[in-house]
Amino acid sequence: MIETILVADDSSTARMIIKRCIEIAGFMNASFIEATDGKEALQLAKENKVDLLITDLNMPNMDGQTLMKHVKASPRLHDLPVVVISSASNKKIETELIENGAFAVVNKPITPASVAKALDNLLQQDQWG
Amino acid sequence: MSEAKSRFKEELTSAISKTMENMTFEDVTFIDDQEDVEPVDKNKYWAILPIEEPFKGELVLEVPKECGKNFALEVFGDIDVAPGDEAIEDIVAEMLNTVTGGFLKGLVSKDETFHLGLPQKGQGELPPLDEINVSVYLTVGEHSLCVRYIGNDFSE
Repeated sequence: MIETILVADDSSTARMIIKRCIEIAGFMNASFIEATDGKEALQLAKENKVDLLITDLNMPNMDGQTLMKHVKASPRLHDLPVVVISSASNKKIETELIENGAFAVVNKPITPASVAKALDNLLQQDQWG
Repeated sequence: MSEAKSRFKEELTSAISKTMENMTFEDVTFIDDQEDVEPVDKNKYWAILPIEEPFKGELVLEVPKECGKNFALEVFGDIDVAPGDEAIEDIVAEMLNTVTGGFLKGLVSKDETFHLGLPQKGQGELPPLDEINVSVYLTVGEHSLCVRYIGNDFSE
């Protein structure tokens, strides 16, 4: 079950679109925690029980790549799935992000379908079955 | 127009079109003849986004205030309180972010890294800009918008 989703993006518009896409994709009962940069997201991930982290790449204070490195290096957060949502990615960047621990990379403009695909794949993993 | 500049403009136009259709559900019309364009006056929202890699430049989006308010209604949907200036500035910056990502993805080879800076956003008069290299004019409904690129000179 995906109950609590941490959404990290410095744009309130982007956070709102991400949340709306997740709800339209069928995750109506998910609750959201919002962070405006990677530093805040890391703190919130440590303080709360979070099932999924959705993060932008390009953020002030701490970018999405650094946030993901911290998450993957943390014994407690290591297994937290990370979905990267970004406008600034291509095949090379996507491959690097997956190698660094991202579960999926979704390109902007995001749609309910692209979010549903990433989350359905996540739910099919053993740990969520 | 050089081949490189022409491709640059083509990718930018395509990214603008996809972004507008996805975020605001609005069809856009591009204007080829600059003389037909009514400039976006000072009563506008704007965003500037630096491109750090693979080349240095900036993209600028200018949106008339009335048009920005319409975008906000499309993006936010049914809400009780009309979005304020700060929210609309954020929408314009997020649009430009999405345009820039789509544009670079189309322009840059799959093996090349690209990297964006953080957006600057505001309303009213734009801060002073360096020489504008590419301008794309478009209309959304009755409003004229403009996307400009400042950076590499493709004319050589």
